[in-house]
Amino acid sequence: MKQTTACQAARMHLDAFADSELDAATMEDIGRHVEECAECAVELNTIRLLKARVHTAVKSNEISPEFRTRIVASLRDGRAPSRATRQWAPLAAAAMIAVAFGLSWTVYQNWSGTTGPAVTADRYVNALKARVAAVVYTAMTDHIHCAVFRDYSKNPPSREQMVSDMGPQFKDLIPIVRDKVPAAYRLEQAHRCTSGGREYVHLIFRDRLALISVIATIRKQGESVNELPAANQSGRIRATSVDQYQVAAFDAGKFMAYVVSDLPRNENVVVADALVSPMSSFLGQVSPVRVF
Amino acid sequence: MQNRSVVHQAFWTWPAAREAKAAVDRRENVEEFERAALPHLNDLLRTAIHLSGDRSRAEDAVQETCVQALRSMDRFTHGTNMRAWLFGILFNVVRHQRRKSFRFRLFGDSEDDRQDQIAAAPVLPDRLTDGSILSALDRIPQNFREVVLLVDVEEFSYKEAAEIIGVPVGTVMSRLSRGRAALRTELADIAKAWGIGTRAMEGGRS
Repeated sequence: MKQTTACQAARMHLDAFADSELDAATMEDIGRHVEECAECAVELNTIRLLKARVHTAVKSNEISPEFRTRIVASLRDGRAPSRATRQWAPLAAAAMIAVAFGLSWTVYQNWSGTTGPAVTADRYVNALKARVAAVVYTAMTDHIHCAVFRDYSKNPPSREQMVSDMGPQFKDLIPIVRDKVPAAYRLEQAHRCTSGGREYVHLIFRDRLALISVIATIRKQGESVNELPAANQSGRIRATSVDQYQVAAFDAGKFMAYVVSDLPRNENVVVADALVSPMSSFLGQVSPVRVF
Repeated sequence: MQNRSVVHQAFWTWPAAREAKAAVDRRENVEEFERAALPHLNDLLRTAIHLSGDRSRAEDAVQETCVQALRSMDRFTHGTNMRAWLFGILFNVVRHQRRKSFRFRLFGDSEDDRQDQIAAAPVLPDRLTDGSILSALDRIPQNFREVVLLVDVEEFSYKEAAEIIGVPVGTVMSRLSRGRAALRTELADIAKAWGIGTRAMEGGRS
């Protein structure tokens, strides 16, 4: 790519040119340059295409009419969600300062590190309970508690640590799942955990801020992910979304398996689809009575 | 005796009448506000979702925005841009929310670490879904995402965006260029992870 000084000058203004935000003379200069220079024309076109795609993507988010109803109701009785908080803010601030001084640094660290996010996670998860199917809630509560609200250190636990966290029965699941999750995602955690009296096998993958959880949990009597809509032709993968999270699920013998992620819907289903046969055959030979 | 009764009556009816009048005034205010503000509700919520990274917090933020806006309607200058005014309040509310509580997800805020990407912004891969555009948008730093949302999605001018965020116009320009470059980098990464637009994996993953 050979760039002239004219190109360099034009490139500086291309974004503003695409937004028609330059003064008339500069608009004219850049317009003339773009007509003559194929490379800058391509770059301008890319900016315009990106603008359009971002516009469409964000606007495609459907807003339910209930939201409008909720706002109208709150306006008519003058309710604000955080009104109480704001009225008490000075007092609360004073109390916080007192607490911060009263507690030792270690305790404070501990408090801010655990209680804070957990409160928000609980609030979110509790609200979920009412609006998603039970089989979806089962996976979401694990993903939110274990993956989203986790402090990720620079270095994930060693493979040995993860193998021991998974236990002898599940350690061989690690390479099976690793193989099917996009390579850009790093394995951050592999462990067994419990929530709400339910036991989970949980692998967490992360690429910067994007997360993928692969979760397996024992099916209870009559439970099946098949109550969710089919996501592919075979009907093996069931999928739904909860807020910005995509959930794809399949029954694997005595287990239900889930992929919960920030991936686009199709990509999330693709991961689940790749996991169906290796995970089913692996989980098929695990004896669920002796899991934990 | 009669006199006292009148005084008594006056004493009790006066606050009631005042309340009644206030209620009527408020209903009229609310109706006027609804006519002006509700058409922008969905745009406010879509923006809030990408600012706070969580739908229920975004809904709270928009509700708080509407209530605050209604309360300070008297400070709104008629004939000026209602939409920009509402977005300005929304940005304040979200900033307050972010300061007040733990972030739902941590987004990087630094502007410096992306500077070198401007010159090397990759071409836009084809076959990208709306979903990948959205996840790329949510991965770029908050400062950049704000201007992209205001200018590219909500079609505000640079001057309006600057007023909404509370920064100079020059800052909007530079954040926008860097934001778009960062988006392209994220999109290229996503495309690469899924083999979109690369010769080796034309057929996609299976």
